[in-house]
Amino acid sequence: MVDASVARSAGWEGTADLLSRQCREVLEVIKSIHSIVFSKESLAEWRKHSSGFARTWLIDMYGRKKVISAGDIKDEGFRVRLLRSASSASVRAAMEKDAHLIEAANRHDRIVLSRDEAMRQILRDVAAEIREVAQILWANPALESDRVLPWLENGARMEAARRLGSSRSE
Amino acid sequence: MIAKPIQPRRGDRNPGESEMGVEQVYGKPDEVTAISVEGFKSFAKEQRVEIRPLTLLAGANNSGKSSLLQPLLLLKQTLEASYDPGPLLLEGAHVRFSSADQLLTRQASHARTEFRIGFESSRRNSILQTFQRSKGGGFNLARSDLRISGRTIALIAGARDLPTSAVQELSPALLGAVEIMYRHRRLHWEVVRRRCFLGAAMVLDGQQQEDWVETPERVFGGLLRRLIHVPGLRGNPERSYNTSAVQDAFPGTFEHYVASLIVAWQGSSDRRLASLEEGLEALGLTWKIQANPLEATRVELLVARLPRSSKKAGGDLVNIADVGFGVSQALPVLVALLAAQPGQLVYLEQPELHLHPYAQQALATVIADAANRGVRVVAETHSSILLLAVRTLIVEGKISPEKVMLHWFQRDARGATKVTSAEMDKLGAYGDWPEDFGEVQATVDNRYLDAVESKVFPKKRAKR
Repeated sequence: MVDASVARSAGWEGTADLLSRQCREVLEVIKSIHSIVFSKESLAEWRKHSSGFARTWLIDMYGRKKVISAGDIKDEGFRVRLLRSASSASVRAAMEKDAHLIEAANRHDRIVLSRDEAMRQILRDVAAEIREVAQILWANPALESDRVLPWLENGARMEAARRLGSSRSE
Repeated sequence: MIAKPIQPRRGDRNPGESEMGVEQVYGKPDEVTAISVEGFKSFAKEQRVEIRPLTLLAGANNSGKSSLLQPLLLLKQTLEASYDPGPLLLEGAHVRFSSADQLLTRQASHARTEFRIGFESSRRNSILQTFQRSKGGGFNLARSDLRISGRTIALIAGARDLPTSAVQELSPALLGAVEIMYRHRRLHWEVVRRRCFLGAAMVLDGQQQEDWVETPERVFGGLLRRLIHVPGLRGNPERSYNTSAVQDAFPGTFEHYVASLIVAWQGSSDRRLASLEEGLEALGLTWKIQANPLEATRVELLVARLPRSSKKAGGDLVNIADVGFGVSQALPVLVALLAAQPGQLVYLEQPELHLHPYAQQALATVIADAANRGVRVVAETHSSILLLAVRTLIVEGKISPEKVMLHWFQRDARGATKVTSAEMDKLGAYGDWPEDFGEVQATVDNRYLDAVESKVFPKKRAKR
């Protein structure tokens, strides 16, 4: 799963910042050696927020048959447990919005690339009690310390330290 | 006294004369389904390229896209010549070479002396011609490997005792008649050349009989003669155009027939005139076109000045030479696609020439409509928009993915052409691909974005 926040940053229009190059490089590596999983919700967000660069990238990914549809991903049991764990109404709203990322990732390789550090922290906070969250590998392409590019180039292995449930990931 | 043939000589048509009659006998028209080339220009090794109703040829400049169809065009112009130019007319209406060296693959290791070209048809017939460089600087047709009605036959130039079985494959009826008529005479068959085909000539009591020559032209000639070629250079718009004959075969390049076809469609209230105007309007070029015969030999083309129809603009027509190049360059493409019969091969070189991106995406629909009608369209293109629009039409269900084939041309380090072919799936995806327009677009996007970022956010100089 690649969150729309990465797609938005990959182009210069919209949120211009120094990190767009990193996001573009990450997308290029994905195009070259990986695939992307989309849920219905994440694709809609991509279409809504993506930069011109990310749109062209997405068209190429379709052409190369590297887009995987997550299918019907809704996991009611997981959602109930996730939302029940929310510490406030605002956290609950954020969880509700991004639950599909976790659901879709769990159906495939359990990897989420996102620039949303606030959501990463929210999920880390509940990882101990929700197994589906704990096993997710969350990485931020715009964060230097995450070293996403070399990790992707080396095959994007499921490193325990990168999981939301890992104590070392905090 | 030699008896005259008992059946019409099918190989002796006038240039441009159609073979439609033969096809009507068989029902569904025969169609070119694959082309193979070896030793020709950058095609060092044999490359076989499948031709579907909508075949797209893409790749960098000088990657060999045009060279794929040139062998067929050489054969076509050889058949269309008003005299016998030998086995290949090197300099003609479609392609122009001045020496054999220009056709042969250049290899560092040795000088190549022959090339092979061939094609296959939907009736599972095939022909593979081997041309060898002659001492005179041209080419000899050395060998023909044929597959006709499921049987194979090899004709070697100069062979003096062709097996009867080979003649039987070329013309069963002819052989049957001859064997009955001349059963008490000394009869054998020799291989002879007629234009760009090898065939069998009857030798009776030591004398070759010119009236008794059978070649595979009846099988393959029509496919070549009926090929419509819309070249990349389609001429400047003119105040008036020469009139031309309007049939279902178009000798030479197609742009010469456009004005006269429009005259013919006007005169017969042909629905294709309305389709042409719809196509031009969809491309955003003009909504009306009118052909005015000026005299017996010239036709003037007028077009509406505005791109879209309106009641007020009824008589607002201007000469085609007075509007942008887009109209005059797109017109042969649209007219060719409408004039072509099912099964006919239309070769479009850069159909997107002089067209705005909006018109390029609309052109995909016009091309797909022709392919859906049964025309075999081969389009050589540099337009990523056209390619993406075709993919979109597949996903929208407006053309079946089975009708579309994509060939990507590349040259290796030695300069040899390699063709990567891909079928599309119902999502318009083509899978593994050596390089594509999207990649180029991404590179261009990246370069611009990197440049902008380096100006807006200059890197801090490292402290010494």
